[in-house]
This record gives sequence, C-alpha cells and structure tokens, in this order.
Amino acid sequence: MSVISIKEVSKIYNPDKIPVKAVDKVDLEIEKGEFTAIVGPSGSGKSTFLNIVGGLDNPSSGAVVIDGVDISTFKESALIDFRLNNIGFVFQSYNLIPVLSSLENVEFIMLMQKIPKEQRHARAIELLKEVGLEKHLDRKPSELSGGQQQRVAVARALASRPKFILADEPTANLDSHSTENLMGMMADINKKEEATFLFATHDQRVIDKARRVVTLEDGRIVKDEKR
Amino acid sequence: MVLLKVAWRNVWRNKTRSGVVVVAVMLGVWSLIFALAFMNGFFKSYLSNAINKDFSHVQIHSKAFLKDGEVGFVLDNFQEIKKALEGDKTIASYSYRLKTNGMIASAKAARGVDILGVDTIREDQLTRVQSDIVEGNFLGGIKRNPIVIGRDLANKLKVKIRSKVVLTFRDKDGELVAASFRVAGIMESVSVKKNELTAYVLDKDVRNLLKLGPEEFHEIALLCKEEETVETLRTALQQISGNNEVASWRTLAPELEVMQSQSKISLGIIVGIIMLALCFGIINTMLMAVLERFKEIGMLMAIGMKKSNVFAMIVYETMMLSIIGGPFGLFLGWASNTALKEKGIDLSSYSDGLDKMGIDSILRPSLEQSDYMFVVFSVMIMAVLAAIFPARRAIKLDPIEALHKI
Repeated sequence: MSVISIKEVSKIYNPDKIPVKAVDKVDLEIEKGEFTAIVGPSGSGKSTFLNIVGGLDNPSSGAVVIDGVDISTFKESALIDFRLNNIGFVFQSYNLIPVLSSLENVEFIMLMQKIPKEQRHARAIELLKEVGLEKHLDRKPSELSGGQQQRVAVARALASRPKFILADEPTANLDSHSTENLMGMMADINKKEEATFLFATHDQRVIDKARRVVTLEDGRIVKDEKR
Repeated sequence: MVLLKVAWRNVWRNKTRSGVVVVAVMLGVWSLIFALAFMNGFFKSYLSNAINKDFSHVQIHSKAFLKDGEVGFVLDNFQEIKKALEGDKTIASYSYRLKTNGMIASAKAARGVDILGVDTIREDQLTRVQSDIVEGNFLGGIKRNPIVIGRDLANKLKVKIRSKVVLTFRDKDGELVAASFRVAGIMESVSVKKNELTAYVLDKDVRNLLKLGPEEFHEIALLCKEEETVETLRTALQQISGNNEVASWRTLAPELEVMQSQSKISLGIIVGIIMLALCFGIINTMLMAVLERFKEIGMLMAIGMKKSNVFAMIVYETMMLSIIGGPFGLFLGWASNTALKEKGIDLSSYSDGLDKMGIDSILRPSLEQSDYMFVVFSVMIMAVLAAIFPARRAIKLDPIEALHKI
C-alpha cells in the first residue's frame, strides 16, 4: 500500500474572483521507503503541492490519503495532530528553536507527542548520533554551522517516527560540501530505516541522489522518472 | 514544564527589551503602591483628625437636645452610662461636656460661638486639645473664668492672651445670661470648626450660669481603642441610654463616609490608569516578541504544536516578565512606605490649604497588608490580560505563510 496517495488533487486560489489553478488534478502514489524529488520551475505549484501533502493546506478537490487516511477534509486542529504524529518536516532555513540545545530541539517534538522522558531522551541521542552530532548535544543552534543545524533538523523530523519526511529545499542554504554530507546522510537513513523522503528542490545535487524525480509544470505532473 | 523552560529562555532572548519591561513592571508596581499609600495616608489623616478632633467615635446626647438644642435637655440615665464607661476596657478616653451656643463679644467685635464646658484633663485625653494650643495654655493660668478660642476667632475678635471677652447665652429657663471670661489660650487646630466657632470653658464655670446640677451634661464623646469595636459599644450604650441618642461618627458625619467611598473610587481610578499604562507597555513588548518570531511560531505550528500550547507559551512569557518585576516593585513600595511612614512627607509648603481641609502637613503613607495583596493580585490579572492579545495574534499565524517566508 502507498504511504502517500494523491488522487485528482486540485487547488484553486480565488475561486470566486480570478481563479488561479496552482495544482491541477494531480495523481501520485508514493511507496514506503521512496526517496523522491519534486522538481519544477518557480510557479509550477511545488510549494502548494507540498503544503497539501504535508497537511498544511486543504485541496479544493481530490483526496490526500496518508497511510490509508484521507486528510483532505480534516479540520485545522485535526491536521495539527496529524502532522505531529505522521509527518516530519525539514525546512530550508533549518528553523530550529534557538533557545534550545540540539538535544532539546530533537526531544521537543516527542515531548509534544507525550513520549516519556527516558524514551525521548534515548531516541534523541540515538538520532543525533545517527546524523553525526553526538558531540554537539548541548550546543544551541547559533553554535552550529548551517550543515550541522540542518542535520539536527533531520533528526528532529525523524524523532516523531513519521510516515514520511517532507523536505522543502533542504540544501538551499548549504555549501556543496554540506549538501553532499546531508544528502549522503539522508540517503543512508532512507535505506537503513526505510524512511520515506519527499523533497521539493531546484538543487541538481539533490535531484542526482533521488531515486524518483517528479516534475511539475503549471500545476500538473509532466514527468515521473524512476531510477 | 518544557513549555515553561522554553518560555523562560525566550524571555531572555532579548535581554535589553525584557529588562526594560521588568523595570517598567517594577516601577509600575512601586508607583501603584506609593499612590495607594499616599492617597490612603491623605484620607486617613483627614478621617483621623475629624474623629480625634471633632466627632470622636461615639457621641451621646438627649434626643430632645439634638432636636431643639435647649440646654434644659440633659443626658438621661447619666449615672448608669457613667458606670458603663468606667468599666469598659474597649474605650480609650471620654469626656463629659456641657454644650450650648451663644455670642462671644470683645471690645471690638462679636461672633456666634459653640460653647463647650469641659473638664480639662478628660477633654485633653480625648481631643489632645493641649497640643493645639499655640499661645497660653488649656484653661490654665487664669484664676477666674478662663476661655480658650481658636486662632481665626481670636483674629476676628481682635483679642490676645488675657483679653476679656463676654459670653452671652440662654440658661435652662430660657433667660439670657452673660459672663465675662479671659482668654487663657489660643488654639490652632486642623479642625476648621474649632478654629472659627468653638470656645472651651471650664464646666464648673458655665454650669451655674446654665442653672444645671452637678451630674447634668449635654454630651458625652468617646474614643475607642479599636475602630472595629465602635459599633458594638454604640449598640451596648444605646441599650442603657433611655431617651438618649447614641451615634457613631458615621451618623454624626455622613460626609466622612461619603468621602471614604469617594476615596475608594479615586484609588480605583488611579490603579486603573497605572494598570492600563503597564498593560499597554507589556502588550507592545510581547507583540514585538511575537512578530519577531513569526517564522519560529509558524514552524512550531507546522510541525504539530497545538495552538493551546503556543497560546500558553506566550502567556507564560508575559507572566514571567511580570512575576520578575512585580516582587521588586513590591519590595520597593514596601521599603519606601516604611521609610516614609516613620518620617512622613513634609507638605508644610501647602499647610495653609491642608489645614483648611483638616489634613496634617506631615503626611504618612499608609497601606494595609491586604492592599499589598490587592496590588499583587491586580498585577497578576493585568499580566494575564496583557498576554491575551499577543497570544491570540500568535495563534492566528498561518503556518503556510510562515513556511513561505522560510
């Protein structure tokens, strides 16, 4: 069964005035353990598509089924709960909580899931070890490099044991060395933990690592290439 | 707990800004306490002077005397009342008075006057009149018919110490009687009435003129040790007083009670204004803090932080700022009140005006423990109210909008 099943999803902005179709009847199935890049030029609908898949926005029509649950009709509070327990987010600007250490940042999401202290502490350490930051547990984001911060963000995204990880331009602010490291690390985690990754990216280095590349143009899928 | 931890750390992200708010809260609480204590001291001074110098806590008169003012209407059941007063431990002091009104005339002028025939020791214990004497003394130093009058009355009559004045009034039978007295003392009281309209004479000097017996009086005035016992004592005395009217200062001077309630309203307005200023300061700061963290709060909501938690986090931050500043302000307020209570605030440059209002020129700020608790409670309520607007603003953030800014 697909982890993500997108069925005829459309998103129309300003339906009553000057309608703008950001996503137009998109169908897409993402299987467990996929490492997929969504690519396309600016204005192609990548961001809107990711918002819908990530449960941050509702589609105008169609269904978004995550692990068998249709979230397209969920109310806001239900979507917040769903995001917390099912989706991991990695953002372009890392967006860690600046007043918390690496360890606390990773623990924070598990705390919201009400996971007992010992368990969340152990998992946070394990994840930070996995992303190679076991020596930086107590460092605040401001004491880490961009690459290191993004690694913490990946660890945080994995912490809640999500159904999939949504990464929006994760390497946009990284140099080539950090990008190489991050992508290598995410690919390893993808293989090792069978974690499903869905990237929105312009970065050719990310696209090169992806095992499936979906190209969007004018809100429609124009190419779906599996490698 | 972690929310509290995050809120605490967020408070100190911008130390200068938080510091300014903490100092503002501290000064706000201090000014609140000081304003309350100052106003309270102001009113207490007025009330205390009115009670101690004019009305006393309780006064007893014959009902007929109150109605007609005729000197023949003396106190009923005097012996029984006297016995009760002597045995009551809640009473601080009391005085028996003969009371009438008449004319006082000097060689140059004449005025209407309230004449009080008193026992000097009892009267001084009750009204501390000796402390108001600025020239001469309280009915002493003159062998025959001494009289004490207020400074304003003395000026109007153009008399000084040892000057002769003539009192004219009606006796028990309604006949006009007149007698000459010599000025033994001139007083300057915070009571306007005493300065302009009162003449003290010895009860023995006026008793014969009024044709009254040795145990006949028109008025008993008394002070209780504690204000709280006034009503109980008044009720008890009323029961043994026959045809007398036993009235507390609240009945004798209803304007004091009106002033008391008005002062509470004024204090409420002052508290409201200071709280409002404080509240807007905090709202402004917290709103800046929220807007500055637009991305971060949006991200927290995107990854699944409940709106209630975001709301709570902002409320915690606001309350922390108040909780840090509040106790400092409280301490500062308590310290300044304690220091000024001993020494008082010297308002002697306004003494003319204050005297006319019946207020001491040395003002002692005064605040009860319950008032301090009121301030603490008000600041806490204000902090929660001030947090609502920024917290609501925070939870209204659209995570998508925040993500687009990433």
